[in-house]
Amino acid sequence: MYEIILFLVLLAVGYVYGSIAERRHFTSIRRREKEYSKITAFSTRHLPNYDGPVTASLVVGNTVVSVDYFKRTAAGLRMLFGGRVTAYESLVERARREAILRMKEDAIRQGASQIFNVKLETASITKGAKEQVGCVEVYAYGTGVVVQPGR
Amino acid sequence: MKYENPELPEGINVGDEHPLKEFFLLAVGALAAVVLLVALLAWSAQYLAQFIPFRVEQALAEKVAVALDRNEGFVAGAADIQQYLDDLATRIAKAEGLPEEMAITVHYVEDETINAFATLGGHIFILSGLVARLPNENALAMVVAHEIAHVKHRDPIVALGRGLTISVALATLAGLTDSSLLEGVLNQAGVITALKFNRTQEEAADDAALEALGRIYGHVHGAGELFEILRAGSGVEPPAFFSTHPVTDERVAKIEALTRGTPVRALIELPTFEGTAD
Repeated sequence: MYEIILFLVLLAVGYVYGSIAERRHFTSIRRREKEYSKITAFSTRHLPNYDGPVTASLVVGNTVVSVDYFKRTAAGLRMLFGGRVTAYESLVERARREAILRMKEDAIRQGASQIFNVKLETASITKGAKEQVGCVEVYAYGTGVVVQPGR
Repeated sequence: MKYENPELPEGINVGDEHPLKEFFLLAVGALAAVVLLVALLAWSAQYLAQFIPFRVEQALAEKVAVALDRNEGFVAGAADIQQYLDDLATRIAKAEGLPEEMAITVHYVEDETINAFATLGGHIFILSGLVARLPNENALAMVVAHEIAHVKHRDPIVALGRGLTISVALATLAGLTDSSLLEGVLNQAGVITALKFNRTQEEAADDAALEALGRIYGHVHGAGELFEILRAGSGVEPPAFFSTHPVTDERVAKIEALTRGTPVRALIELPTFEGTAD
């Protein structure tokens, strides 16, 4: 009985706080994506030909997002039946967009206006750890191009 | 070449379905699967239990009967009533056509509770509280015949098989897997007194008991009085759906239907026992 109550409380806490955090995060992501829309990012490996002198530098962004108890339970149930694990899809989406945003913030700090050869790496931080709520890391990096002011 | 990042629409990677909707659908599905699985297991156990030889059941009950007397504080009742009940049980067992190897052991127990029950290995417990309130032998014979019918139908082992399977299945699903679990459950005397027969079993026992009564006395008058006493003893009757025992009114009506048209003969008085104080 005690376990069931604990489970339900964890589930409710996970759901309430998890969904508040997710809604806030998405709002913040959308606002900043508009804000940084001047900084463009591409996956192409080769830089275009610039007329003037340019400096290329590494720009990086990194984020770790944790699963909440509700999402973990929902995903656990989903694993019984198969299909899209929508509980995790939104989580990974948030991590990915946040990492790109942080990479763009890094680019702004370095004065870069374009980022090429953008790559994303993901890692599950708690991989293999049993009975633990997992979290996902997304690391975004690319080559920022800083156009030198005219000669 | 022109490089640009157009604004992407939302909802490509994330659906807008409410997470709770999906969660409840999945939870209900998983729960239904568990219920179905446990029901299937319980049904199989219930079906297979009847193939357990009666002497295995007796061996199982031997351990338990000792624990029962000790744990429940059961004290044997007056010897003359015990003797009378033994004789009555022998007559009824014969009337019900109980197989030879199914030995009935009646335990007359000093306890004010209005109750009687059958358990593993042909052990029948009749509490003095019930005997004291019964008006005649016919009603008492109905009690004994009902409990012997449970033994004859193998109801205790079936109920034990079903009950154990359900508790072990649920414990396993809950992650409480323990090798000593089954043994621990079996050794509890409580399991034996709390065997739950379902309505079908109760009705079958009633039918067999009435048939035996008809064979012994030539009529089933007096049997209904038992249920009136049980009703008075238990207070409010739960609605049929919640109760495993067929609701008293239904049982009385059934007996009345059987007695209708049969000549009313004198009911047999209970002998006066030394132990009973009036």
